[in-house]
Amino acid sequence: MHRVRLWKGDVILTYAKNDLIEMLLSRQEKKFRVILVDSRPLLEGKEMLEKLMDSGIECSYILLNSLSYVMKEVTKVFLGASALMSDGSILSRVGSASVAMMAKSHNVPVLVCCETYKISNRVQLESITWNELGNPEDVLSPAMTTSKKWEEERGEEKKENVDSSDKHFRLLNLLYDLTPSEFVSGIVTEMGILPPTSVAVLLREMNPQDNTFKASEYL
Amino acid sequence: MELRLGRLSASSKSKKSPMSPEISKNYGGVTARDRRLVTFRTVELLRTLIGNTKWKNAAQLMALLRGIGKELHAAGGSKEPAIANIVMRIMCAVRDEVANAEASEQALAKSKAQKAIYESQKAMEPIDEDGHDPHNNHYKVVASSHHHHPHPHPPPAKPNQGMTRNLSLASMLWAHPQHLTMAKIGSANVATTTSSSATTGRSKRSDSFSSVDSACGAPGSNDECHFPPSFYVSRPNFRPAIMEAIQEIMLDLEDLHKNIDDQALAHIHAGEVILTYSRSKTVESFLKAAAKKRKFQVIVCEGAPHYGGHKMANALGKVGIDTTVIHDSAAFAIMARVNKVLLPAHAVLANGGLVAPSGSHMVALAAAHNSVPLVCLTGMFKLCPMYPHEGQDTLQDLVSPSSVIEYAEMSDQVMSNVEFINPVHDYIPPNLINLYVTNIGAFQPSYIYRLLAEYYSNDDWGSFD
Repeated sequence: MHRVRLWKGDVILTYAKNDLIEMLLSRQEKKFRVILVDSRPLLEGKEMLEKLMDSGIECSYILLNSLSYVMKEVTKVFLGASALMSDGSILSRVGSASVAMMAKSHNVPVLVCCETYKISNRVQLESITWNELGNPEDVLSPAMTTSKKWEEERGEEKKENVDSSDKHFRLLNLLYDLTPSEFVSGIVTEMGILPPTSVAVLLREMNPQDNTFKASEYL
Repeated sequence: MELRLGRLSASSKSKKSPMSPEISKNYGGVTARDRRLVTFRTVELLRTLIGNTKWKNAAQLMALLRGIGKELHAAGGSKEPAIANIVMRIMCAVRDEVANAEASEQALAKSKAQKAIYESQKAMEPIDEDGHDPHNNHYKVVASSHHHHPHPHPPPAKPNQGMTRNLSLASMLWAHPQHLTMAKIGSANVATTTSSSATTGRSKRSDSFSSVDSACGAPGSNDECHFPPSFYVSRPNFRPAIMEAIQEIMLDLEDLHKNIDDQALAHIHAGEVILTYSRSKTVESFLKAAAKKRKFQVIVCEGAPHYGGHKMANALGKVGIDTTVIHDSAAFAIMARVNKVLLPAHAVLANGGLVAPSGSHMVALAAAHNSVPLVCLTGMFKLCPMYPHEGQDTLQDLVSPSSVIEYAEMSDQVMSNVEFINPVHDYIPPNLINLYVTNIGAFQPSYIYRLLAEYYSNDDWGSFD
C-alpha cells in the first residue's frame, strides 16, 4: 500500500466506505482532492467523508447519479473489494461496477485496494449468480423511512407512494456486484500492485498445496 | 429589434404563466413539469399573438417571432429548451411558406413566359416546311397534341417547384450562401432567375457566420433583420397558410403520446424484462399501451436523489404490470437479465446525443457492455438545434444539494467545507443509443441531423441566445 503515491493536484474518486482507502489517502503527503461517491440505501460514504475531512483532505460528495458529470475531472479511481475472483473480477459493494465502467469510458485508471486474503478461487460470470439480498424496505424512498419532518412535508406523497403489499410491485435490494476485470487497471495488495490477470498466479503462489481441482469448492 | 410586449413580457408575470399548478408538481426538490403541455401552451400563445397582430409580410412576422422567442426563452428557456425549439419551428414554417409561395409564383410566371414564347414561335413558323424536317414534325406533333396539353411542358422543372425542401445531402452541402444570392435578386427577369431566388430561404445552406451577422446585425442591437426580398412581399393567402402550419404543430403535440404508443407493440414483446430509469410520462404511457396486449416485466431504477422511479413503479403497478424497484447502483448488476432499456429524454441534440435524467449515462454504459438495446422515447419537440459542446453545459442544471445531504448534517463546521454537487441531467453520446422512438417514427441517432434540417432553418439557430 505504501507504494501508491499520489501527485499534487490529483483528483481521486472513491466509492462508499473502505478502511484501506481511507488509510491510504490519509497517509499521502502531496495536496490532492477527493470526490466521494455515495449511494442509497446504505449511504456508507458519509462516514468515510467524516474521516477524510478529519484528516484534512479537501472533499466533494456526490450521489451515484452525478458520476457522469464529475468524471471528466477525475485523475484516478480507488475502489475497495469484498472479494477478488481468480479471473481478476472484483466482487464489491453494489455500484462499484458502475463507477469502474464510467471511469473506463473516460480513460481514468481504476485501482482496486484489496488484501490478499480476500482472493477466492471461485469464478463468477455476472453479479446475479451469487449475491446477497438486503432488506427490501430499504429500497423505499426516504419519505417512508426517515424523519417525521420528511413525512409531514410529503404528506400526500406518502399516501400515494409505495404500497408494498401490492402483488405487482416488488422491491429488490442487491448488496454486491461484480466488476469485470477489463475495467480494472491495477489491484493494490500488500504484495504490490498487480494487473487483474495475475490474480490467478498469485492464488497459485499463495496456496501451492491446492493445485488440484475440486468441484466441491465451486458449489 | 426591441419588442414591446407590455403586459406579456417576461418581466411581468401576470396571467401568462406556463407554470400553473396543474402542470408543475414538486417531486423531491425538482419540479416535474408536463413538458408537452408547456410546449402546447406556448404554441397556443404564439397562435394568439400571430393571429391578432397586424403584420403585412413575412419579414415582419419573422421579426415578431424572433422578439417573442427571445422573451420566452429569457423567461423559461434555460429549464425548458422546448420553448425555443417550438418558436424556431414556427419560424422555419414561415420560411417554408415563403419559399413555397415564391416557387409557385415563379412556376406560374415561367409557364406564362414559356407559353408566350411558344405562341410567338408558332406564329413565326413557315408553312412550306412540312414533311421534310424531323424537327418540324416534332412541332407538328406538339401542335396536334396541343389541345391535350394546354401548356407546353416547361424545361426541366426546378427541383423546388411546389415542394420547397430539396434536402438531399448534396443540396445542403453545395447550396449557395444566402448573402451571395441576395445581390442577384435585383433583376426582374424571370427567365434568368432560375436557381437563385426559388431556393432562397430554406433549402439553401447559408454561410452561417457572415449571413447571420449581415442579416441581423449584432445580437442585442436595434438593427432591422434583413431577409431576402421575397420576404417583404405582401401575400393575401399567407396568413391562413401560417395559421394552418401552426395548427399542424398543435395537432402533432396533441397526438404525441398516441403516436408514440402506437409503436409500443412493435418493440415490447411477451416475457421481456424492460429496464427504465426514473420517471417519465412518455415511457409510462408507452409501457401501459404495451401492457394491454403483452405480458412483460419492468425494472425501474429509483433515480436518486429525485426518486422519480418510485412514482413510476407505483403507476405501473396499479395497472397490473409486474414491476420491481431497484437502486441505481444495482443497474449494472441487474443488466445481465434485462432485454431492453427505455430512457426518457430531456433534449435530443443535433448529433443524435441525448440529454437525459442524471444517472442514465451509467445505465447506458451498462447496457452497451451487456449488448442490451437502448431505446429513447421522445417527442420531436425536444429536438434541439445545438451540438454537445454547447448543449452539455447549456442544458445542464445544478440544483440544491438538499436532496443529496440534509441541511442539518451540512451545517456542521467540518461538513460546511465539503462541496456537494447535484446535477439534474446527463449527456449520453449517440453511439450508446440504439434507437429513437418518436411521434413521427423510429430513427437511429445518425439520422437525427436530417430531422433537424426538416424542422429548423440554419438561419434561425441560436437566434435567442
